Amino acid sequence: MPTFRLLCVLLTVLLLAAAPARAQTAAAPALVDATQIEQASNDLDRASGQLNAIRERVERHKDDDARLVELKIEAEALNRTILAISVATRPRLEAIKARQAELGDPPAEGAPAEGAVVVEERKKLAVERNEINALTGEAENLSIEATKLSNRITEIRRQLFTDAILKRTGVNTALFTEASGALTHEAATFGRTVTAWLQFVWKFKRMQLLGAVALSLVAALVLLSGSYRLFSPFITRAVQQEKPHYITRLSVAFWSTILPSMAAGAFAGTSYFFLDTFNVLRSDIAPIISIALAVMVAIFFVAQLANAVLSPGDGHWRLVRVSDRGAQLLWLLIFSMAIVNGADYFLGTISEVLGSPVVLTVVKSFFASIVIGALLVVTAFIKPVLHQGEAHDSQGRPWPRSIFILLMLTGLGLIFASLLGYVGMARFIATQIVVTGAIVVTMYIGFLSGRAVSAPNAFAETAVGKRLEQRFGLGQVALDQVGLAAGLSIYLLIFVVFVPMVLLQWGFQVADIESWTYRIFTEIRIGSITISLIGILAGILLFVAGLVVTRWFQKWVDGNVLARSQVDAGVRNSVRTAVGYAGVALAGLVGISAAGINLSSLALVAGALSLGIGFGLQNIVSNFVSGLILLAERPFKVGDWVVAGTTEGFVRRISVRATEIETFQRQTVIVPNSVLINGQVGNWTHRNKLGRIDIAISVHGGNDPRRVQEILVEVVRGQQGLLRNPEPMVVFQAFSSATLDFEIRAFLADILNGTGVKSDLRAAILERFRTEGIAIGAPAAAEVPIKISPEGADLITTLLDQATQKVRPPAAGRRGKPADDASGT
Amino acid sequence: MKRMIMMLLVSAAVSAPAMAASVTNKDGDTQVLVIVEGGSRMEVALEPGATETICPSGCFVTLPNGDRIALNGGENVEIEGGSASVK
Repeated sequence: MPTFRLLCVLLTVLLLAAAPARAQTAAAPALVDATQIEQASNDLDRASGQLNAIRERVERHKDDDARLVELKIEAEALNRTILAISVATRPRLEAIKARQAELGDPPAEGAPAEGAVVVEERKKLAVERNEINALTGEAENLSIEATKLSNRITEIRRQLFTDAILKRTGVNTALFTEASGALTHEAATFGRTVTAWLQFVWKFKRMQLLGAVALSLVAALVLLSGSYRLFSPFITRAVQQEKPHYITRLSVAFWSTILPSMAAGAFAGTSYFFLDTFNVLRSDIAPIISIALAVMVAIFFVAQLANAVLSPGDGHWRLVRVSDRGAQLLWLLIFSMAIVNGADYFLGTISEVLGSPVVLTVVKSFFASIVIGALLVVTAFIKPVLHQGEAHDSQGRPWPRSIFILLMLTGLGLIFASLLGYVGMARFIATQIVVTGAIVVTMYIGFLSGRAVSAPNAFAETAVGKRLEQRFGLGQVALDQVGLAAGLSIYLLIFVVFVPMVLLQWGFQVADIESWTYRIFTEIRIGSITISLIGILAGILLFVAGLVVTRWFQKWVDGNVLARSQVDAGVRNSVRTAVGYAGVALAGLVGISAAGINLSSLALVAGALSLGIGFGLQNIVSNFVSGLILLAERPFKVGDWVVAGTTEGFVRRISVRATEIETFQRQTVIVPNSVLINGQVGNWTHRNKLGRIDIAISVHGGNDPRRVQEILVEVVRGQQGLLRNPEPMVVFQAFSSATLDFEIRAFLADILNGTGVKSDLRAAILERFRTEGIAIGAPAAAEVPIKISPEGADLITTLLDQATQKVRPPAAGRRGKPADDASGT
Repeated sequence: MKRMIMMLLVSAAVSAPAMAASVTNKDGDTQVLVIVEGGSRMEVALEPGATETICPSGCFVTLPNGDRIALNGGENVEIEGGSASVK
């Protein structure tokens, strides 16, 4: 039975393994304490070593700004580690203190001595406490050193920047002689290096080189064609549009700068990446290739932007009001400046890589700055400006005086700075003018285009808007909202992409920007308050999620649990509302604590606010509490027929502040809950819908009251919809000379049907009265009996006959009936 | 209702998390703490019963009885009899 044997072996092994484990756990606490301090001590030693290493590297890379940024971040992280190590020893210190307090003071002189064990422990505790204090002291010193190092790095970086800009080189013949010597040497070295590399690559790495170029070309093409397909109405200048609208021109300018530049950047990035991964690059060639690619992208970007803004070929698409000739000249000048500036950087990097003397770099920048300055001066003298309404091909005017002076001052300033030897500063300013200027202009166009897209109803006019409308059938409002979102995302894009680019131009490093971004999102510190954007966002997200879950839970409880438990509609409504409010409150609390807002400080605020609430929000709070009481007590529920003061109607909605009552005229009256709680509220349908209807009936005074009453009772008994029990009643209420007044009182199972039943009942009574021949109406005037003697009657007849004699024959000839009537009377 | 919620939110945001540590002196005498923060050592005197907000981003504190402790920021420290209890 191999299985059984195997099991036995396993069990023994397990038991053997378990026994020492138990022993270990028993001995653990003492061990842990001892090792904790040792561990901390080791950690501190290691941190100290790291600090020294960082210090050494700072000394070594004194001139490398990018490396310094990284070192600073490392130093700060190390500082935090040191703090964390010391914080970890705190619990042990607390424990020692507690134990010492338990042991109490050592016995005084003359008192009986303590046991040896206690004395031993006392000693041990004191030693350990001192150790911890010493350790923390060490950490303290290390932390001070780390902070000082990080401050020193900042100082070095500041110095570096100042040196780069304000360093002065004497411009004299010696400089140029030295530089020309170096130049020939450098040209030879560069030629040799590049040829050697190219030959090597062509012989051994041909496939890799071609593959890298092909792959990066494919990537750029995919990006370019994809973006063209997506954004084509934004990028291409449609031929059919004779006079494009301002918005169209703006967005075309913006996107036709951005997208091709991004494609170029992608091409450069991927080529470098593939060349690097395929090991085509050598350590001396890699920086040259990378700067060449970067310079090309930058020049392409500037040229593309100049093309978009100036549109030298087509005056209708020009964003600025300049003449055709002026636009062409300006484009040429800007492009030349970009080329010269790019060449400066490219050649400078070559010198750096090949280890040429610094004078060479200085001389190259010197010439580049002078050329750019001269180009600026030339720019000042061209005449591109057009006035409103002038044709594009007409002769331009000179620049306005302010721009002329600005251009002249900058150009001459660059030239003089170079001549005076401030080459670093001249180069910095030239770069700012070309690259930063281009970026800022792009940002500005982007902002304008974002604003134009987000303007009311502007998005629907764009091609993308039209396509969206066709594809998804979006309405005007939805399109407008999409337009707003598009505008805002353009703003965001500009902010996220271009602001870091400008900062990079100003000598900040990527690591700087990264750490700033990180800090902005995690902790913004104002005084002693720390706000975390991520925390607040997480709080909002959690709150929204809580709301969604609450709605879902509410629906589930209402639809699945309450609907089948046969509870009253009012209870159902109350439960649903209560669940809703509880969920919102819970989500709010979770959101607030996730946002990092201390709930205890919230309690403090609530305490401070309670006075204000007592006075200012009295009504609202009273309504709120009344709403809760309404939900709990349920004096009426949704659908009830209530009378509150002068308002009568059906309850439509009970919310926490007010209750909506819909009158029979369909007017919605919003009644504050406190009114409903404090005032009298009549409810026709509180416990049940049973209700009494009263109908007043009057008949002619000449009728027999008992007969009428009998008929009414019969009719009421025969009426559908009335209850037998309680029995309907017919009351003889009053009589007068003209009428007999009755009232029918009958109960209905559902008072809401009252009107219909009343109407039916009246109809039935009227029909019955007619068949029974009971006179209903009282006469308009009282009947007056007249007594007359026979002689008098004869006399009146004769008198009437005589009076009508004259008119009778013609009348009789025409119609005989009146005469018959008269003789019969 | 909405206004009330807004008011509560705004006041909550104003009273948002105070991350710094606070030290309270519960002794009868003035106590002097040595605080190391941002690369410099400084002495803070605490009147009896006074509360002081220190070190927003972590620091080392030397207590009157000679003990040294490290704080992350965010703790509440009470000084009693020259020794500290951290909460």
